[in-house]
Amino acid sequence: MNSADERLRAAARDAMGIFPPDGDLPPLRLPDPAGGYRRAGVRAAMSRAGRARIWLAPVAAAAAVALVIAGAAVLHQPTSGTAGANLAKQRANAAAMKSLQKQRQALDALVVAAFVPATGPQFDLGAKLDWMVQAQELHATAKCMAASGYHISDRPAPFNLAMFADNTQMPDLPRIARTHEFVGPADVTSASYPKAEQNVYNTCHATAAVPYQQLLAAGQTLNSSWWNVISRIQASSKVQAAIPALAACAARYGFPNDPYGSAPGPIKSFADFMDWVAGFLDGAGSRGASASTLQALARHWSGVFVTCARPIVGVWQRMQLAAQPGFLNQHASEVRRLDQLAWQLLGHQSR
Amino acid sequence: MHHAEPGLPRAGWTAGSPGAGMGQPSAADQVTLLYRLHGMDLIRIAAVMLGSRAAAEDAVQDAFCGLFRKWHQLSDPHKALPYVRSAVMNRCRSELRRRARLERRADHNHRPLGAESPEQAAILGEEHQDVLAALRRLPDRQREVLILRYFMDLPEPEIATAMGISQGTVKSTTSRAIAALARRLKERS
Repeated sequence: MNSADERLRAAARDAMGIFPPDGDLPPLRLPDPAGGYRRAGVRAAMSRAGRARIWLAPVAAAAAVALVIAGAAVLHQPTSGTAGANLAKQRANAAAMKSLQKQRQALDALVVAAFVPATGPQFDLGAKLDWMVQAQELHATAKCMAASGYHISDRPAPFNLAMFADNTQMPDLPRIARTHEFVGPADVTSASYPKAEQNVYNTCHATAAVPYQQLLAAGQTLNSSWWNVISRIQASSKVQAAIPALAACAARYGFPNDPYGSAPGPIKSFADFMDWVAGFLDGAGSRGASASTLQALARHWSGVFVTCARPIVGVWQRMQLAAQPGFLNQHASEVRRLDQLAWQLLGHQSR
Repeated sequence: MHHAEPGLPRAGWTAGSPGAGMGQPSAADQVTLLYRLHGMDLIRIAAVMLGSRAAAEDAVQDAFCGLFRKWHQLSDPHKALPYVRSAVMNRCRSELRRRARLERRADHNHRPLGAESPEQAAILGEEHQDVLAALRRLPDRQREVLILRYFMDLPEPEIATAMGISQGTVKSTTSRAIAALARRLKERS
């Protein structure tokens, strides 16, 4: 059999034939710069107070909605005839209103964490939004399948943070230190099901997912813009200034000793460090190390990772936290729309 | 050492072109020229990463629009190509992240949503589907380093720039990626 290298080269030659350098390019559609600048001008002209008001609007709107709901509830209370009973009801309504407001604020915070996270813990928190969507879809899918005579559990798998971890750009150091779960998720293995059942599942799941597509697509657009900010911060001179300390820390734990036997280059970025540490686990895994060996390695190297990463991650997290409110101000209308969508779709689940 | 990019619209910065005011080509002209020269190379790597020509074209289109918006901030025209290359990689990563999110949601009870679409299968010939599938199952950084090296034929310094890592890491990541790919191909066979 050909080596992986040869097979890659053959595939690349094939790709070159399918996408030749002088092949047919779709037309490039550039944006209208005037429109873009005009919008930027409006943003720049906006006062700090004005921007703050825009960002506060979702919270204010949430409070207003809660007030309206509570008010309506009060209006629909039958009169009891006793002042004491009315007072008790008013208190109960006030408590319900406060609780609703808190739930909405919590969901708004989840939306920000899901699509504009500034720290590893925020990133992990945001993963819960995915999980909530997942739970809703599963419920709807199970109901739809039951109508066709197939029964699946509508109980979602427990929330698993390790499934969502991003240790290269958003490492959650406190979690890694606590759990020693350093590596990403294992490969997903898919069981096979009878074709008819699978088809019903696919159709039901596709239908169940429709209501959430708008939320996730809008969130993804915002998330992509935010990721540009994150990448810029993590490539900034302030963060780069923390690299020598990171390299020195790695040297204390054996760098450039490498589990693959190849000499790694100097550590010039966080990704270099991450690759080096991850190599010890990948390397052991690929050599078929036992579960207990892998566990011991994960315990050791997650500790090294947290110790060495803490200073540089601290630098960029401070910068990301500082950039986050400005970004949210700039994208206030998108965030507000996401909050509204999330509340419509998931509000009842968060209650 | 700075590597001059072949085919960059270097002349455009000094020589001017028809239709541009003040004897200088407009940003749109220069971005369009860069797109004509390198667009297909970028679509190729994006297609291999994403498994879809349409998604690849979208990613490249977005990256060039981003370059156009930032054109006036570029201190050096030679940075345009590395910039747009990184932008394409970032967009592909972002798209893959979005898909991973969808796949996780689709994976209740370990039920797959179905096989790849015919378009995904048509990105390369049948005989290379195993390689593509194995490539897509590699960790992000290993996959990217192989795609930039084999499908774009970039030298190590340029891979390092596009990925924001050192040349040494390009070397070690490449050797790990090849080993991992060989292992996955063996598993599949």
